[in-house]
Amino acid sequence: MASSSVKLTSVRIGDFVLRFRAIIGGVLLAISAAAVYYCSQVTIRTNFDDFFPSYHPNVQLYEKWHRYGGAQTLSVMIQVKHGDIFNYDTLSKIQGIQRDVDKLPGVDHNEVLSIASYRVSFSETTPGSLTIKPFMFPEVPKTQAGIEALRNHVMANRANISQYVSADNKSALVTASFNERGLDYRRLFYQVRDIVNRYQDANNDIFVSGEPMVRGYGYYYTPVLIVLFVAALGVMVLILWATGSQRSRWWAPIVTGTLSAIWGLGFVGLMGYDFDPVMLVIPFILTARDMSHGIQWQGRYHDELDRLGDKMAACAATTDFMLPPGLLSILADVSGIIFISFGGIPVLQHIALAGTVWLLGSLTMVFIFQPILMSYLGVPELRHRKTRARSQSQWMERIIGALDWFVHIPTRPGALRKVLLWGSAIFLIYGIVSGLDSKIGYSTPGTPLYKPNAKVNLDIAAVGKKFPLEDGWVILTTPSYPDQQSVLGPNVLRMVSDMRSYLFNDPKVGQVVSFASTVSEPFNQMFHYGYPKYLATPESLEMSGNLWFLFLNGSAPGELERFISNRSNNDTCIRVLLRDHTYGTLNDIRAEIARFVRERVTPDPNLSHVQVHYLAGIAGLYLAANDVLKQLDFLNISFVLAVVWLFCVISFRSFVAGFMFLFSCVLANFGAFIYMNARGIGLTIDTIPVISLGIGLGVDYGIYMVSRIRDEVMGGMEVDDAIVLALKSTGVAVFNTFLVMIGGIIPWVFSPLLFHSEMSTLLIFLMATNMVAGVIILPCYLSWARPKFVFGGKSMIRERELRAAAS
Amino acid sequence: MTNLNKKRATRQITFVLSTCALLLMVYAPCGHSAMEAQVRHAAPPWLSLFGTAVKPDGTIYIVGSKALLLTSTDHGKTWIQQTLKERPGSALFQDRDLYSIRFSEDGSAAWIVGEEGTILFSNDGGKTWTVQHSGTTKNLFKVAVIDPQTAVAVGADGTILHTNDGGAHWQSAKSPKLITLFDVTFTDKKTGWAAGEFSTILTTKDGGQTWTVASGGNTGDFTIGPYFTLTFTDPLHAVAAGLAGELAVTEDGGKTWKPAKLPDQVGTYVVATDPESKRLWLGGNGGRMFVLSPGHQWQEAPRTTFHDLTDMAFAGNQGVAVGLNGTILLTRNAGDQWQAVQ
Repeated sequence: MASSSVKLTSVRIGDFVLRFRAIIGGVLLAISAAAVYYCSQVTIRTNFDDFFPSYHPNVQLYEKWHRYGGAQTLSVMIQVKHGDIFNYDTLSKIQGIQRDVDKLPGVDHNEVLSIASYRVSFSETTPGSLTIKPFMFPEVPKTQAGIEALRNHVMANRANISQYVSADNKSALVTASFNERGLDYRRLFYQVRDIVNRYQDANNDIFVSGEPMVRGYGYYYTPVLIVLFVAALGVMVLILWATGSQRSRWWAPIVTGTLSAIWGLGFVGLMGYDFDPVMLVIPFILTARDMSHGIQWQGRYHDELDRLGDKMAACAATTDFMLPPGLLSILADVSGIIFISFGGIPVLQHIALAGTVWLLGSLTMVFIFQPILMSYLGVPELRHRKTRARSQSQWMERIIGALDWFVHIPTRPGALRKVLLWGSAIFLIYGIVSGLDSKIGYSTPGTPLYKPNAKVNLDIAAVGKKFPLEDGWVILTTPSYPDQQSVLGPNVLRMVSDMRSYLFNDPKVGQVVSFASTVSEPFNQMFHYGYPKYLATPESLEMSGNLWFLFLNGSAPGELERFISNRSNNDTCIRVLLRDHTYGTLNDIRAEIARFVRERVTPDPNLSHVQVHYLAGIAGLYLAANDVLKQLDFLNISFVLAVVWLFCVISFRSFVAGFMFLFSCVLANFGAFIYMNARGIGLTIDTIPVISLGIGLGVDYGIYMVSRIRDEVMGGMEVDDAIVLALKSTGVAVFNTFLVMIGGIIPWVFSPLLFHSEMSTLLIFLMATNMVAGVIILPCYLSWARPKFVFGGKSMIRERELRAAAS
Repeated sequence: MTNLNKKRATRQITFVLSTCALLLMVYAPCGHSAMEAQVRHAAPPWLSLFGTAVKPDGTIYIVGSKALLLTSTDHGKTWIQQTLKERPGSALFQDRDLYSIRFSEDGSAAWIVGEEGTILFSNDGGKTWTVQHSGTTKNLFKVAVIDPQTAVAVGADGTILHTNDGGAHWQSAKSPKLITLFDVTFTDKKTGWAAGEFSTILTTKDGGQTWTVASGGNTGDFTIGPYFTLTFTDPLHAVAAGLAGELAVTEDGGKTWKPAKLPDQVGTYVVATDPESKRLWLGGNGGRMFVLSPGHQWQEAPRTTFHDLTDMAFAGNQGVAVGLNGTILLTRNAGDQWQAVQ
């Protein structure tokens, strides 16, 4: 029996496994049975907090100041087709939406705001009095005069309610915050749709945006996704059957794939992780990985069976041959996915840990359980299909001739081989340049999860045209009132006002809401006869305190807490409303606030005890995720490359082997960046798990190929013959694997989710690059450079001699 | 070493070095920059505009919150935005509101007054500005320029300042009432008028050094509203305006002031006369404008903004009105039509 040339241990694992096959098989099946129970515990739901890195200062800031509202804001916009919103019908609808949104599950009742809210008010002065009035509460004005008065109030106070009534008066917004914990997105989604259907009519369109809707649409599409999942599995099985059914046990990879899926999902259930429906593509990739290894194993098993003629010997030999490269490949996969858990983002940690268990399940099932299973089953019979017609066989001959020409490409010196080698080098450089230019975070105002023409994105675009959507918080902590540096201190208020003006210079900022601008300054003006030059910071702490007291007593309960969280007046929240959540916008805003703190706050001796904390709110959370993602992706790729390099060095006992596979891996992964940049796909919380999983996807193609070539050379075969043989045997298995995997991924291209569509295309691109690298480029390189670890060297010669002696 | 081995070694070294070099490229650093615009087509809507003046050459000047100065030499098509440096520190630290700007008749000298006693002076027609020491931290709401050397500023809590040396020294004058004064104007080099709280009108006959009450001044009655603005159309006729449509008019050079009313109870903060048609313009709360043509009653002009108006200025038939939220209204036909700059 031949021994593996790529071995990590001198123990003959195949013999060991088969000797104790009953015990090992029994244990593995028992674990699988237990995992089946936990599979039933898996819940499909979304937990918002899980999407952001818990250790990041922004996330901690957001959690600490959660009292200023949730980061998940729902925005319902009503827009008239003709005229403006100042008509009884539309105003009544605004009030109706306000009331219905207030009944949604998980809504924060203090944070449901619109012109129909009792919290959205304006101040009015008459000789001898100052009054605070809601714009449209409790009743909608019924008379034309009342409606005109409302219009005038809105127009005169436009600066402070630009987030509720659009500049053209054709749209009004109802916004609501939610308590994140335990939010039922499915129920919320369908109730919001009911609101839309209830209030939409010929003259009034309703648009809805916000994180709850983005996540909610995942549930909306879940039935379609399940159909796609089943279709993808069906296509995989079909291709598996078409490519492997000449043998009667072609279905074995399905068994191992199912068992490892049970391990992976069982772990998800055991740990109580939530399963986001949008992430349904990830288990599919893992299953495809599993199938890939299973097909490779079956291919080799059949080869060994033909060579050795004995089922048990073939099982043992295949285990010895396949376990080391399989282990290497799966370790590459594990290293790719486990590293994403280091970013501190819970959802990525869950995916990483569950994915690792799943992959280790694959390792166990494909390389340990499969030989046991095959040893109990009969010898796979060779089936004969119907022969083709004579006229078709001529075509077959031509195809065979073409394939023969193809498998000799690596061994044929000349222009084509040079073009392939240099072309791959250029492709690699282009890929690296694209990688350096990769986008982080969201690159469009909507969500990249769904197609640009999806209802959710059309709605986000429609709302985004009229209103700023993303909410970033700057928190000030100060000494308590009546300290001059408390949040009511004139110098502090002035600084907040300055920050507002400064941030408005950036057109990406839609509104800045603070106690200074929304309460203090307008009240100061009203308190001074409404004289416009008093629309400014109160001149003294006492005056400021008086205005605070006036507002506290004149406004709705809880209204003050939107700005100042307690009666000590030692913290305040400044809300920066942004027009989008793209990477550029978020980074620019943070840089601008940093500059402001550096140049305006720090040098001011009157603000020596004021601390500025930024950036919380949804914008801060996205920013936190972006910070982690770029770092994570590059470290992740580096880590995978290091693992691939290290294991290849150990396995092939050659540094050159390590670099060769590194080249192959870099070629494929940085090539993926070319596709991502061309399609404008950024690294986001959604894409990073798929990309991380994709890093190891297909790296095994090259490993299997080179191992086979080396085995044959060590068995005494000539160099070129070994390459040709490897291409004809392992190359075919690799191609079959590739077909099965892309066949299974192709249905996802037609997913209603852009995310699935793009990610599946990316994965196909990644695997195709890996296949070309493994099947053609690496053999070309081996034939051209003839590295010692394959074709010579002392250890190689010694091993060959030992093998000859043994035979 | 055989030739084959040498060739093999060379190829492998080349391969390894190329791979390493390419990998190093991955970690190249990145950066970004930011820039600030100076030329605008409209005023920043988040800033308040408080004062305006039109030089004889037609150049429009507007001052506002956060040390803002806007100038336009092309009748409002483009605006140059500046932050006037009113104290040490970075541009982000220049945050005092500027309330009023006035030029001397020949346009050579100009003053700006503002929050916390801020005074800025230009002796080159508004090209450059220097900070002057006012000696007060009270808000200065209005300045009147008598000649390039002489000016008077009024403001909060009875603040009256005057200078006779181009602002080198500002001297405080005593207000007969401890009231906030919102407006000041001069009918000749010596005779001036100021309007303020409690419907008070003060007058001076000595260029601003001493002031007496011409009307109102009943500081014990809190139901009496202020006069925010006043202007003389000629040495005999003047109007003062205030809260809730309250007016005071004189037809005898300020000896007697009679109460009057606007058609609506609207607070008005600025009054100005257009020199072409001699019409009086009042602007105020919610962007409401009223016009008084000679021989007619007050009439409301078509509304072009909903934001409070704070100041107006005319030069020939060109006029400008400014207000909160970056409001700029322009007219090129002496107020027949006003157009908002957006």
